[in-house]
Amino acid sequence: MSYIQLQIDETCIAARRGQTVLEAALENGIHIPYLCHDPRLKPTGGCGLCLVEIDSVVQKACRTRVVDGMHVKTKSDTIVERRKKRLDEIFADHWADCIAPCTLACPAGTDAQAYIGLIAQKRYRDAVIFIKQTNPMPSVIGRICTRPCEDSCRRNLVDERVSICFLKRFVADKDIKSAEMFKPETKPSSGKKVAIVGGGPAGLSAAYYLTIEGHKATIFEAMPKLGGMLRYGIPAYRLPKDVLDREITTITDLGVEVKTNQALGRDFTLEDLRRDFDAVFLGIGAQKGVNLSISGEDSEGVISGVGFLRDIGLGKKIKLGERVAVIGGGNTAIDAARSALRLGAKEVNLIYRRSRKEMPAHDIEIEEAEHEGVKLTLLASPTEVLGNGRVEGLRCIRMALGRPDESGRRRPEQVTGSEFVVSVDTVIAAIGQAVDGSSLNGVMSDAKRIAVDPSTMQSGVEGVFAGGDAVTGPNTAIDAIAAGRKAALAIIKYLSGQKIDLGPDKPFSAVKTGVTREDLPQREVIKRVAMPVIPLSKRDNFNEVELGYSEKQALKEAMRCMECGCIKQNQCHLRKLAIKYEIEPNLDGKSMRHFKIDDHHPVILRDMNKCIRCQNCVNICGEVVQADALVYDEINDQITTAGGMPLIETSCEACGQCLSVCPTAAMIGNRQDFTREYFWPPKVVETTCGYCGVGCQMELNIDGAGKVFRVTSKSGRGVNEGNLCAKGRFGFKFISHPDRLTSPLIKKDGQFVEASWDEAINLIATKLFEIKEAYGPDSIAGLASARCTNEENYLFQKFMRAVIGTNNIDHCARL
Amino acid sequence: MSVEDIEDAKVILVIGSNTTDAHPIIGYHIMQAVTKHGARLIVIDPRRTKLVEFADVWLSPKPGTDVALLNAMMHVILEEDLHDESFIEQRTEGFEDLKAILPECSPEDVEKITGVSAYDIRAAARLYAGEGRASIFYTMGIAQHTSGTDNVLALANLAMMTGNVGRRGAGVNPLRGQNNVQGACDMGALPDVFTGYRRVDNDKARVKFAERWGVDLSNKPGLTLTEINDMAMEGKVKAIYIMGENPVVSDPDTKHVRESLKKLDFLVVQDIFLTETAEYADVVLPGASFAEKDGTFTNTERRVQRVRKATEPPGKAKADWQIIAEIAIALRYPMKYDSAEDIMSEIRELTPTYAGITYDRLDLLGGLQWPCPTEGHPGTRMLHTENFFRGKGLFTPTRYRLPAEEPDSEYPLILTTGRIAWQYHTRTMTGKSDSLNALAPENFIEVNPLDARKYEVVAGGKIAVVSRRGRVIARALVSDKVRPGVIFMPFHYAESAANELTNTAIDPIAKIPELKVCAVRLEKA
Repeated sequence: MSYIQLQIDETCIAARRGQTVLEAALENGIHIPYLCHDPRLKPTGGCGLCLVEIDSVVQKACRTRVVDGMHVKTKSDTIVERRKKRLDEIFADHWADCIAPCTLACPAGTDAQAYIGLIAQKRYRDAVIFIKQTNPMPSVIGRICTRPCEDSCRRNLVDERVSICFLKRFVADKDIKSAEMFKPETKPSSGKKVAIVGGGPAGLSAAYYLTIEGHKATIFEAMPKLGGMLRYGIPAYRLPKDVLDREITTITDLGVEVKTNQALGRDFTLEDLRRDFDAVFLGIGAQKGVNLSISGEDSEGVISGVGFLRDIGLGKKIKLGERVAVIGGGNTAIDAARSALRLGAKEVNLIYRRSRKEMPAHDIEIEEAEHEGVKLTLLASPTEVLGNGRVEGLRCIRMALGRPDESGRRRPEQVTGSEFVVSVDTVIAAIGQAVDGSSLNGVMSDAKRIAVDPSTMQSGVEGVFAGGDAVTGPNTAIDAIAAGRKAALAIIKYLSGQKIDLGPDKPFSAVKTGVTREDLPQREVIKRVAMPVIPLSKRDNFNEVELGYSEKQALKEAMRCMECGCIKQNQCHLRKLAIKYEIEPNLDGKSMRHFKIDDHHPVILRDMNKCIRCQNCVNICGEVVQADALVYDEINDQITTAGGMPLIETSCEACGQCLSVCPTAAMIGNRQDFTREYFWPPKVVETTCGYCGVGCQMELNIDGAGKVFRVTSKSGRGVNEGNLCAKGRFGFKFISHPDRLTSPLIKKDGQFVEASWDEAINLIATKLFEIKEAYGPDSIAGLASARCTNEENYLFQKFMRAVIGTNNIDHCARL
Repeated sequence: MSVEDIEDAKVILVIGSNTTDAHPIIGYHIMQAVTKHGARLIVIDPRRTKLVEFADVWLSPKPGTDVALLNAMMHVILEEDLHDESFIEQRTEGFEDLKAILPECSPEDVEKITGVSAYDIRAAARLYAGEGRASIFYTMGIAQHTSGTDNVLALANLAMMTGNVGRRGAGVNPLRGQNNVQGACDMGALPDVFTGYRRVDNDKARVKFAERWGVDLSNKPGLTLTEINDMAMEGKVKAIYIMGENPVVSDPDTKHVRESLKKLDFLVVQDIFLTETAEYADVVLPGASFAEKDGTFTNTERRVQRVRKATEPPGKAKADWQIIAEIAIALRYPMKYDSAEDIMSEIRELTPTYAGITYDRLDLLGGLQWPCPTEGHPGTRMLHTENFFRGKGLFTPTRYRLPAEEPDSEYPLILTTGRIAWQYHTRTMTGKSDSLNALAPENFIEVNPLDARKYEVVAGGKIAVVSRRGRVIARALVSDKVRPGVIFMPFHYAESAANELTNTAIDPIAKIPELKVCAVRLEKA
């Protein structure tokens, strides 16, 4: 074999004559991006990504043979541009989701598809471990989240959304009550201290992730207890205090120092914190009520929504009238209205200036409020509080919706002469909340918010970070939790002296826009499992209304998940390149070709939307398997089956070789169950196949539960060169099959009874000894196995020969 | 033989092997040798297997007539002077004996026995002998006959007379059906030999093992599998310990096996499932699957490769080697190993062919082909390159004998059995995969259209096959893949077990049962 010299970038390498530039580069550990190269196949150049520059000419490395003295550039600007262009071309016709819509919609990016899959497999603890990677308070969020994930759930197209939030609550509650509650490991102390101002969801979340990293977090909380708006803004019938306490404890128990009744500005200053700590996180929320700005507002009986809920949270005795008006349409307004009913109000009238559709409160909450008797007065706005120092009534005016304002909602406008009076004795103003920035000189953007650089979460003052409502204005709990985590990650970088670079908020994902029900594989209608609630007659108190799923209900609901996210999202070569080259996802689904997912075949699922037409599948099926079940249709530029028939009716041998060469997930294993573990890198163990005598080298992929869930192979490896047959690739289910023998069995009265090892072994030893004594060693025989290892066969024949004393040993080599 | 050498062959002769179904990866190599490297292919098989599509010559003999066919090919080679005289001269002996029997084996005479035309026999012989390097691949289609040993000897004669031994792209290569048949044999799981094929009646070998194991050892070769069953039937074998085998389904004449197991005083079955055989046991022990233990397998090309533990065995199940050692200790024999690697050290001490094979080397190199006598030895890619085990290659002339059972008026058809791509052996493993079951859910009987008409078989309908030993029902698959007068059934399905029908008659030397030929008739189900 003759060798030649060439230079790739700055490295001089030796290559074999006849090799391609790509082969030579890969063999020498130089990576050139590619999607379709496979040593088992003739290079086709189909993916068009392995571009290199040779003598200023751009060429495909897989189609160029090495030449002595050649100088190859793999990284020039021209090449990078050309690769980006090619990737854009591919994504212009790639109607697919990398990440599930629910996950993309979650402010914290919690992967619902993943934890629902784990729940479906009854791996509850794993589900919690997974959730807590992005959300340390799933018991709380599982109750009160506004659920943007469910809004974007694709099951909505078939019947109803999957109850993602209820499932999260189920598994979190189960974990928190279990003896082996998940507690993350914390790294050894870094010696660094972080002050966290505000013990609400943002502060708690930041504390959790900082503590895991080994930093000492101290929370300063102005109120008597931790929880922020979770405790003092959300009534107990939605979020019981013991649930909140329990979940806060899971965070503080990691070693978080807590200082309650410590208010910024009153008990300490920002300067104190900057002096005593290595970093500061401000998660002070937006807790100040916004005034109605109408006359008579100072009357006795006018209170703020946040103040009202806070007093309930503090357990104060509240004097409330019989007829209550709540002003506002958000969650605080609804919470205040439902709480007022529980405190004995006879009549609760919720007045909102837009229509029901525009109400920011969560739909289910509004429904429950109406259900409980809250009256909605829509398209109305208060103009004056009536009464003489004490509320006696509220003058309102009808509103009509005009043009949309900057928030996109239609602007309400007063209807002249439509005034009316509502007779009330209490007015609760819940029209908005603001940040109390009175002691935050230098970090406030204006009077309303703390200003941070969204890419670093750092304020104008070095080492001072902020997140949550204090930055965004009143927002959801999950947003605050996401912000707390993000700030923690920024602080971790800051404390290690690194540049704070958190990468994009959302990881790259192709997005399948414009999906209709017809695009989905056939799905039968299965109604969501209803959440059990306490009856209306028992809601005159602050007991929790929603009771939570039983295990049976949760498992049933979990099975409704359609698993929209790509199972290869973390292994897909195309997505990796998209991330590397910072490709923008193409959102124009209309201009892409739409293919129906073909899942009729027992082992192969074809999603041609994800196909990049590299033709690897066609080539391996033709060149190696010699089945020719797949063909490339040049006219329509697509991969199809021979004769356009269903794959199962073609000459397909179901070997799955096509799966092994697909660079995306256009062809994947078709499985009906939730054993997909795309989200955690599997444990991969190389071993020898246990079927025929060829001895193929294969990789067992093990999931977090220790189950083999997939068999793969390394291209070019072993006597099989990375090829596997149907049995080797798909015949692994027996390993974790429920019929496996798990205990020694002894037959008693014709029935097998489970026994201990000691019992079984002693019985065998006694019997063999007796028979040998009575009839001689040759009355005993042993059959070893062509299935077992060399070591075991060796030991077995040694046992028969040395221990029993006979050569009566054989195995079924002849069968 | 090494798998990677397949592409060096100029001619490949595949006989009694449905390679693409039973050994798909070898099938890929053979097809690529033809399509990419221009090899010529001869297929000898009563069924039109996938490889026939790639063959230059396909011979479809009546099952059980291989010796006659191979002798006729040798007749042609000798007649046309295609044999390799210098190889015969230097490396072999006994050629004159072979020569003596060939005149009576003319293709024209043999045509009557095999049903293969003399023209095709001549074409195959010329192709095999006329192109240079020619390799032979065979499996149970050759071995599972009462003439199984003769079949293999005939193949050896054919290869030796053409000099196709001991060089790349040549040889006589059995393809092993089970992952570690080779290893089980190498390890002495046979009645007459210790590890490395040292005979138990060889005093020198026995003394070496006896010294290492610290006990006296019997010099009397033991019983084979079939003989064990017979002796159990006669009450002479009282107890059997079975590790990882399912003879109730895999042995011929399952009725006989069941009866003999019932006669035992004591039966221990160690397996990963409660198999049909385990149902007869007094004690069942839960073993570990290959994914749950460390060790080595030896493949069909003598390559020792690692098996690595990837996950824990379920419940109380344990690696088989641990169980054996515990029973030995309970019987007061000190058998203590910390790991599979520990056992390998002992194997290496006692087995010169394995002496250089360490786990570290296997991890580094991927695998090592024995003989590998020292840790510096690269392993042996090919056997017989300079010498045969006995020195010179011995020609052993073989004469055609009728199979144990011939079709007659009562049982007019020949049943031959085999494998399919999606199931394996007795399905204890593949039967647990929904995917594979969806691909191959039930048994079938392949019937030629001519026979289908003759015996009123409806395609896709249920039909019964009856032999002198049993009756089995399966779905009829009418196909010209089989020749008229022959029907084919996979043996995988316990609920429709082909081995209820097959013959227990065995080859006198290798003791292999005649699973590939028995007389049957078709009946309405």
